[in-house]
This record gives sequence, structure tokens and C-alpha cells, in this order.
Amino acid sequence: MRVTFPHMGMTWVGVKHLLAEVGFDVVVPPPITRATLELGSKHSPEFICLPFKVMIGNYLQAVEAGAEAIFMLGGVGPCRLGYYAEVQREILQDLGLQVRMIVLERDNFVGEIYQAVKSIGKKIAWHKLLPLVRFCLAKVAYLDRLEAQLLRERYGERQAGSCSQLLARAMQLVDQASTWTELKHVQKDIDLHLQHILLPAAAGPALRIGIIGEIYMLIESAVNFGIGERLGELGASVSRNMYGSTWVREHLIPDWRAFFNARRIARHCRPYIGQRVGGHGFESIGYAVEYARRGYDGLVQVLPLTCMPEIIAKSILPTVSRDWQIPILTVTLDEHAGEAGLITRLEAFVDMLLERKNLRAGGKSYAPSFGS
Amino acid sequence: MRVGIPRALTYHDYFPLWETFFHNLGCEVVTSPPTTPEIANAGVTLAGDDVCYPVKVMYGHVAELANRVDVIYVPRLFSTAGGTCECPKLIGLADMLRHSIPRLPPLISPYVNLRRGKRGLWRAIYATAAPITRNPRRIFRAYQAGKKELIAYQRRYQTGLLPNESKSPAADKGQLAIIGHSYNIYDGYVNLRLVERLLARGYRVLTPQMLSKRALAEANKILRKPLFWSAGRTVFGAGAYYARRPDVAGIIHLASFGCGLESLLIDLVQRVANAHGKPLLLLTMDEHTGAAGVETRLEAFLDMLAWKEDVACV
Repeated sequence: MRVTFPHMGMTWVGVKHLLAEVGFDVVVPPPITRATLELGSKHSPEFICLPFKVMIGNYLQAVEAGAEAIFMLGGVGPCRLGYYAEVQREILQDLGLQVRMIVLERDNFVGEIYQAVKSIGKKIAWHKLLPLVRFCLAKVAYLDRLEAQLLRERYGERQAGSCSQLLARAMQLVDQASTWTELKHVQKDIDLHLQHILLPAAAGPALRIGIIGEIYMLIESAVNFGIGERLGELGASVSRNMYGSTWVREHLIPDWRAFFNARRIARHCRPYIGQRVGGHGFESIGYAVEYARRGYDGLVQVLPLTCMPEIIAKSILPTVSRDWQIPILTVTLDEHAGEAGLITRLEAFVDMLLERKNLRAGGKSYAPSFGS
Repeated sequence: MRVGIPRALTYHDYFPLWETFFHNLGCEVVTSPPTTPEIANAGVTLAGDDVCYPVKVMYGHVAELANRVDVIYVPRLFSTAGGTCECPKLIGLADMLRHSIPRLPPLISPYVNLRRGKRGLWRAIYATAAPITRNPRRIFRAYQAGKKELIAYQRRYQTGLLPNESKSPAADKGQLAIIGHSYNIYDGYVNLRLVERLLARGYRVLTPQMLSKRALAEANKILRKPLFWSAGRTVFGAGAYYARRPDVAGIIHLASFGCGLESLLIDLVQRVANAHGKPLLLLTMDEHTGAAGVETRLEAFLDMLAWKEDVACV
């Protein structure tokens, strides 16, 4: 059985390895492009949030490439993600596609995986499963660490675009690595390259900007127009609060560091919001405070249009902005969003932050006044 | 103490309970007037541009109450039935209001989580009454009285009567079902007097609230995975139930622009209606929707129903 799964940033590297090792024939959906988005929007409900539409695009392109079954997450909670799979199944059925949706719900995911593996006439080697999952997670976690480092240090790259090239190369190499030793070699190789493409840290970044918001829009750089990279190219050191592997650490695998981190973030939220609201609305507010405390110069919130949890965060963030004296730019994206419009807004935001920082340091205004 | 209750969102589901409860605790209950253009416009100005229209209207109602009451009651509804939850905006509403409306009196905003069963319910009730009294007997009695009123109110719906009807009107044209959130159906300003327009044309109007819990649960069974929003269960259940009923001429789905739940429900209801060959009209409302546009679409829909009947007769 040829199986596929929706894209979400770089998580495909881990998921692909996991499914392939268990015994499936894996079809990774083609990388997300404008065509994926258009295909997905065409067959999706009009007002659903963007991740749904992109996923439909992924499925259709993967089915075209020969996929027969789709792995997807379910769940129960205020966010719409939990019900995605049910509607997506109906949509695929209406299109007359012969695909099976394997939906992993919280209470039955072991059973679902067991059934799926059984249906291809294979058996899961249970004793090998835990090391396997750890290895897959390590792959994604390494890529996430690398991406975080590149976001932080992209402002100092010798040649524009070399950081993004390095990340793409790392993704390819990590994907090919099948043992811990190979993964270590890849890491060494990439670290060596990294020293060549980055300027030695001299002056530090002109600005530090934090990116917060909805997890899919943050992780999937194909739908957020590479917002982190753009800010890096404009000279900012960028931090992001959400990565694929951190999500797994916080939700699926007990990890004391993640636990204490989550508790600290929840404490930041206390003056602003009383309880979780589903999705990552709560975390967006918590990390806004966290970044403000660390002395960041500005924040960018990214959300898909009609995202319910993030809208709540959006209505509360102005208070955070006022209390902590930190400018926040909110970017709402859907399939009609244009790249040029976003870049203009980011440039204006960065200019504004530079001017603000300069004036606070007692410098003279960059902005030419009228008539001069 | 003067307790303000905004006439928006879940007010339309629970007001007999809330009003009786506060009244029995010795409070003066002030309810905001039915939505007027001024209230709606104030809400649209105060709320962010991303939130859905009903929440914007809620902002207007709260702002209207702000100057003339001591506290405003806005519960944080996480879950109103076991195994379900509510829309994130209802959960975070109190916090959104607190941070967006200037000079707001204190809010009574208990956390209501009935996934925890009776314990969640009692916590919510005590938290509601905490600023007024801590006497458990008084609170319990007030709650009992309120619950009685709420049940009576729900029973009245199930006899097939709309809120301000005393007997069901003569229906010579047939029955139409309106499905959607109660704050859209029972707020005449938000839905541009849709119900009155239908009544004036001689149709009888059926709403989701007229169905028993059992009928709704039964209708929901056609889904492989039950919806986990209680509002979603009501809307979809009503849609599925009325789609099966031969004596319902058509269904009008009243949605609001920017509603997260509705984006899925529209798709689900459409599938059910198609499967049963039931005519379906989707009306999406927001602050820019004009009465003339609604009138035109309604006329077209009703004409279509009439033609369908003629063809069936021949």
C-alpha cells in the first residue's frame, strides 16, 4: 500500500522515515507551491482556514503520484483541526478518488496503526519501535535546531540566500541518513559549511524580532512566504516559538524541560487570559510576553484567516504591546495573500523598528522631514 | 448590585436561567436592549476586523451596558455538555472584551466546563455567585429556580412556538426550517428580520431549538465522528433532521461571516441536504449585508420552492 501524509514544514523527513521503516511504501507529497494552494482552495469549503486547503492540495498531488492511503491526525478540542480529516474524507470521496484515510485519534492511534500495518501483511517489531521513533524525532529535531540557528544568524550571511540553500541541502542529507552515525556525519558536515557562509559575529544584529502565531503557518515556510527568512534578509535576528519537534516534545513525549517551559509561558499569560482557548492562542500571548521580557525589538504574529484561537490572541496582544512597550505586527494570510504586499509590510515594520531603536538610543531621526 | 447581561451570543440560549438566578440572589438585572444599528455599529468599531459578526455585536451590547451597571455577566463557556466544547471565541470572550473596551466595569466571568460533570457545574455556579453571596443554600435555591425557568423555556420551544408567539400562526404555504446559531436566528437585527419576512409570507418557521435533545442526537448519528462543538451538534443535527422530514419545504442556513464552525457546518449540511434532495438556501450575514439583497435571494428561493411544488403536482 502506498501511503502519504500532509506536509507540515520539515516534519516530512521524520514521518517518511518512520512509515518506511514500519514497512509502507511512502509517497511524499510534492513540495507546496502556488499550484498546490490553488488546487486545494478549489475543492475546499470557502471559509475554512488555510492549512485545510493546503492539505487538500497535498492529498490530490500525492494521489496523482500514486498514493492509496493518507495518514492524518484527528483530535478533539475547540480548534477545527480535530475535524479536518472527516470533511477531507468526504471531499476526496466526492471527487471519486479511491483513497483510504487513516485518521489517528488520541484514543485509538495504536490500534489504527496496527490495523494499517496488518493490512499490508506486515508486523510491527514493537521492541524496535521506540528507538525508531527516537531516531525520527532526532532527525526532525536536528533540522529544527539548524533552522532556528539560521533564523537567528541569517543577518550575518556573506552571500544572500546561502543560508536557505544550506537548509535545503541539510534537509536532503538528513532525509538520506538512515543510522545515527550517518546523522552525526551530516551534522558535522553542515556545521563546517555553516562557518563558511556566516560572517564572524561582530556587531550583533540591528534588531531582534520574535515570530509567534498559529503553528502550521509558522512551520510551513511555503505558505508564510518565508517570513522568517525575509526578516533575516532585512537584517534582523529572528526567533520563532514553534517548531515541529517542540510540538511533539510538548504533547506526545514526556519531557521535563518542555514541561517547565510550558509552565513558565502559562505564568506569563496570567494577567492577560484566564484559560486555554484551543490551538495555540494561549502560547502566542505567553511567548509575546516572553520575547518582550528578553528585550526583543518587535514581534510578528502570523495567522490564517478565520483562525479562531489566534483571533482571540490578536484582540489581546494590543494590551501586551502597550504594557511591555513592544510593537507587534499581525499578518493574516489566506490563499489570496500576495508576496509583494507582505514584503512591503515587513520592510515598513523593520524600518519603523530601526527608527524607534535609534531614537530611543538618543540618535537623530533617519526619516527626512517634509521640505528638507 | 446591578448586574448587566448583554443580549447577544449565548444569552439567547440561557437567559431565563441567568436572569432568574441573579434576580433570586437579590440583584437588579439589567439586560441590554435588542440590537439596534447604534449598538451594532459601536461593536463593529470596537472589535477587531477579524472576529465574526455576532461577536462584534456582543461588543456593542457590552459597551452599551458599561456605563449603567456595576458588573457585567460574561461566562467563559468552555463546555456546556459532556464530551463537547465550545467555539474558542466563547471561551476567550471575557478576556477579549476586557482588553478591547475602555472603562469596563468588572466582569463576572466564571469558567464553565461541564466536561468535568457536576463538579464543573457547581464550580461555575459558585464562581458566578461569589461576588454577591457565599451562602451555598441561597445559591442552590437561586440555581434551582433558574433551572426550572430554563426548562420551561426550552419546553415552550419544543411545542413549536417562537419566543414571542402565543399560538402557532396559520401556515398556508408550508413549513421552512431555519438552521444556524440561536444568536443569529433570534436576533432580528442581525438576521435582517428574516423570521418576520417568512411569517409575513405565510410560512411556518421551524428552528433547531424546537427539536428535542433525543431527535438531535439521533440525527447526529450519521456522522462517522461526532462533532465536538455543542453548537455544531445543534446546527448540524437540525439540518440533518429537517432534511429528512418530507413536510419541510426547504432549509435556510443562516451563517455569519467569519464564523469558524460554520465554515465546516456549511459543507456538512450541504451534503446532507443534497443527499435528501432538500432545497437549501445559504445566507451569510455580516455588517455589510443589505436588506434588499436578502429580500431578493429569499424571493428567488421561495419562487423556486413554489415551482418545485407545481412541477410535482403536474
